[in-house]
Amino acid sequence: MKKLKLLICLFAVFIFLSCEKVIEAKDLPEQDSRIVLNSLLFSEDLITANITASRGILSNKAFKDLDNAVCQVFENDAYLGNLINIQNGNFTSFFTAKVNNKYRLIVSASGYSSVTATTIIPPSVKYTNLERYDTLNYNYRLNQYSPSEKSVGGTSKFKLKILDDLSAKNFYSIKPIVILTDSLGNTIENDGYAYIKNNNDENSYESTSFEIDDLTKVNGNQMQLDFDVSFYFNIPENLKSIRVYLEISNLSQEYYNYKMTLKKQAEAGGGFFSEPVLVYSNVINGLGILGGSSLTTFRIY
Amino acid sequence: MKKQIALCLLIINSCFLFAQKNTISGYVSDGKTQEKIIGAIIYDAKTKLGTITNNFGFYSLTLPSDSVNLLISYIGFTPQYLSFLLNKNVPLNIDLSLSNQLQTIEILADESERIEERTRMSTINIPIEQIKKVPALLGEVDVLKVLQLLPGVKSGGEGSSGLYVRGGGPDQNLILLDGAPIYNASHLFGFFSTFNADAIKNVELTKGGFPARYGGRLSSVIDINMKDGNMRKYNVEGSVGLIASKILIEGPIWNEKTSFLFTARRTYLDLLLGPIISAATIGEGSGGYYFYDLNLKVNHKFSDKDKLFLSLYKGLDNFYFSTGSSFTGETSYGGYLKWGNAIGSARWNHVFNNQLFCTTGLTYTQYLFGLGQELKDLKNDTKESANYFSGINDWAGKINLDYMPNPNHNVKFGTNYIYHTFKTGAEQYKTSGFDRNIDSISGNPDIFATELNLYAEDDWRINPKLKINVGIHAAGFLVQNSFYKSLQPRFTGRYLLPNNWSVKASYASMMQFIHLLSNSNVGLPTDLWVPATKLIKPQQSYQGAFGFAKSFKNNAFEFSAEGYYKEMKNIIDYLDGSNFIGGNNDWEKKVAQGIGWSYGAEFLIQKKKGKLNGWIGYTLSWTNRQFTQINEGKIYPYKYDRRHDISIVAIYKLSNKLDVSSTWVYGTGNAISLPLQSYAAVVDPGSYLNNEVQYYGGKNNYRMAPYSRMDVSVNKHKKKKWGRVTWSFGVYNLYNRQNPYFLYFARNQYGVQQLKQVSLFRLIPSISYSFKFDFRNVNDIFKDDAELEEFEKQQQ
Repeated sequence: MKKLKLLICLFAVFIFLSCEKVIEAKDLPEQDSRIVLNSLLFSEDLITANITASRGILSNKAFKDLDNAVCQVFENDAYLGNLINIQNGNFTSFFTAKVNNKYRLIVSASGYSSVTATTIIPPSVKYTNLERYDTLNYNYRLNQYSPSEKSVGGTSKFKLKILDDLSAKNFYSIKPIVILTDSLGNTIENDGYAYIKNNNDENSYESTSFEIDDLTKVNGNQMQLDFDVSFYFNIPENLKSIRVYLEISNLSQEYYNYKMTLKKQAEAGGGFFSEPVLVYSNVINGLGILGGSSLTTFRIY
Repeated sequence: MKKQIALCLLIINSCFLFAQKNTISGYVSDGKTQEKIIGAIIYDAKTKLGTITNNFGFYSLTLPSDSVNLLISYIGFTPQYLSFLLNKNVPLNIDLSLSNQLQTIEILADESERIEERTRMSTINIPIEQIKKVPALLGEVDVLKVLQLLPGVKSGGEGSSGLYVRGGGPDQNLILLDGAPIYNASHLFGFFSTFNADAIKNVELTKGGFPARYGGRLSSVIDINMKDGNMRKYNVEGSVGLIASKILIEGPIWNEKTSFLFTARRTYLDLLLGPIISAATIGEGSGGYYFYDLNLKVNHKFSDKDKLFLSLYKGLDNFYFSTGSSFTGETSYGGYLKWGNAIGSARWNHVFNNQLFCTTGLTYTQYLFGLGQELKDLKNDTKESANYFSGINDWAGKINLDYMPNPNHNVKFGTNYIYHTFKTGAEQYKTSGFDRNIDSISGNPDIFATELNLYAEDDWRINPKLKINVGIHAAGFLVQNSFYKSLQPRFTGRYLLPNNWSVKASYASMMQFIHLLSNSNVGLPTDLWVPATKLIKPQQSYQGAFGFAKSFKNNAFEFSAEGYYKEMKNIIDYLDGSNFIGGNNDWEKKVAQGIGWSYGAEFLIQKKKGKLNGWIGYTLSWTNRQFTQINEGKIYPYKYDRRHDISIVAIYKLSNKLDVSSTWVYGTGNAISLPLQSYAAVVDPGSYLNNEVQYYGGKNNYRMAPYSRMDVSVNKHKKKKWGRVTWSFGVYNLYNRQNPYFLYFARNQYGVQQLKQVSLFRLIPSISYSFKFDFRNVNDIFKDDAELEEFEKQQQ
């Protein structure tokens, strides 16, 4: 009987031990590297882009910057000019994007298929009211792990009413920004960031921004958003002022789709129990995003 | 004028002849056990008219008043020939005897209905004795896994008992056990099915051309009938395997009137692991996993006209653990994961007259899933527990009538009513021992729905060559003040061609009012059945098929070739990024509805006679899906879109004491979503998002390696004074192929990104021991083949 038990135990171990093998890169289907165009156009801001190349999924190399790429810009189908390479795949220009204009970028680089993408800069957000209904809990305190450092942080609740343009589909993004300045008025680099949480969505959690389409309306074309803004960081020694802003953006549909799918892909994390997410791209023959946005900024602290 | 008189006489004569018909009706049974035989043929050689027994072994054959030469036959049984003068209605119960009791493996084919003559297409009936001989994972005979070896049916993955029929999902199969639906037909996360083969009498798979009597699922009907129980003598049989043991007891309660059948199966992994876990936790911890099945059936014959069948099934999987306090000091932590089905059915057969047979039934089906954890503070004597429950309950009533007015018509009609209770997830939190205790329940409220089905069909023999089955199925579903209804036409037909060929065609429209929220990777018990709601519409399908069939070599071989096209609407799939774990609240927001379609060709050649029998099946198919909200609205291949699927099953009887069997399967790899490139992303500073995007190129863009496997088994039978024993030796995945189960990315110790393939089962040997007690006199045991002398010599 003992032998039988041992035999059965051995079988059980043998059966439930799964085995793995590594699939070589050569066994994966061939995929040509593509041009990746990442360009977000903001109204009244310079047109810029970052141009790199995609890499194989098993590659450990950094993304290749395509500094030799040629990027043509068209405004309402009229040629505007080429972007100028700065470095590290970054390109800039001397012309600014304008609301309601259509922009097309055509990028070509040696060894790659040319790519093209189009977007329209949407008009800025029409709002009626931004109300803070909970005082920003704004405390200096000692850092738990490093008593010599002081930290600051807090959370406040806001209600924002937006007048939605019924004649168009609109996509909004709400994003808090904290700017620290020293006594000379210079911006201080720091590791802290502000976060926002959409209280209209019970599945929402703190993030650097949240996006919403205009399907949620409470009264005709009026949307009401309820959210928390919070931030937390260590106070630099030369701190003079803290300013907190709220950026309310109207996004082009392409940019909205990109942001939403990018978030979803990160949340899914390639887990075994999650459906994979395909990140949206409007770059034909290539990858990346050409998106448009109009910002409206409010100082909330 | 003469012509007119002659015509009138002819008409009168015809009417007279029509009036001069009588009906032979009754049951066909196994003479030894009185088990009713499904699908037995009753054929009059003189008129060349015949019929087959229904699911209760009943038949009715109306013939002209004349002498009749009846042939009553069924595979594996010695045919009976009866000749008599039919001048009145004749009640005739027929007992058939096994052609050779020791040769159950040798399936005789002469007596079965020829494939080309059958009206139905896309339907396969596999004898249970053949199912038992097919090699099985760990020696556990599995009905559903044998069905996976048939063309048009695909398995979900390695070891899975899930069925994907003609491009459909696992929720689209109506699995009936004695007429009651089973919602989760698997044990051990899908590796074994819930059916104990010893308790089963008959298994029939219908992939298309559904008769009107079936409804409620889009892709298949798997109709499983349990044995009734031996009416004449007690029988005990069982087996001991590597992971489970089972036993069957059957016999008469009241001779020739009442019989019972009881089967039980249980795994014992927990019994083996228990001492190990206990030792590792100094006697305080415990844990394990087991599943069991219980089947009980009682049938009582009030008279030849009235019979009652009571069937019960209960199955449970339970995974549990408890840490005791040895790890955590003063607290202990425990949890469980359990799921199971319970089924009860009561059916009453009544023969109104020799042409009208009625079955009235009441069934109850329950599927429950539970998950919980408990934290005990031993010092303060407090306890906190959290539990999650989901499931489905059905109460159903049905009336089915078979009306057989003459050999050219077999009309079936009836209705059924189902009351569904969907438990779509409730959480319970409970504390005890605290100053203020909590006992709260939250989650989704139960959803109640009612379903009503009506049907009528006629198996109509228009002429000797042309036979059709035409019918209509009407269904209605009321849920949350929304009412869905559908009218579903059904048709199958065959036309006989020369040289034992026939051409067949079918069309079926189906509607399904329930959906399964399912993990598409593995068949977890967390799968949740949900109804069509105001937002989520019922699924629909339209399927057409066309094919040829032929028997040859005196019906020893059957060949069929079928082409099909199936379109599905309102099927559901999880939205991109939806996570299956973490509750199913707001499930309607996590899913999208779209369309799917599948088309292909299936070829099956079966050998049913001789020492060697089995089949070769091949499927060539395409299956796609399209959802507005998934894959950017583009068409993508279904995960189980398998271009080629081949299966070969061979069972060879070397002698009465030894038989061997083998299966070989090959299938195109499953389609999965695998990123093939990555590229730079635009993210906000401070964002948790990666600055790298994974590029898939489309949903299910990558094919895993093809699946291939060979299994073998050897069964050695030996007679004993008390009965018979069988030793079964098997090897699963004989050539030790590493078939892909899933792929994932990981970095090795040098930080290099790698893609890894996980395989589940490699070569697995198995052994099992089966026994069957025979309560006859020892001389009777050997009387059949005069082996007693030889046996006694061996004993000496």
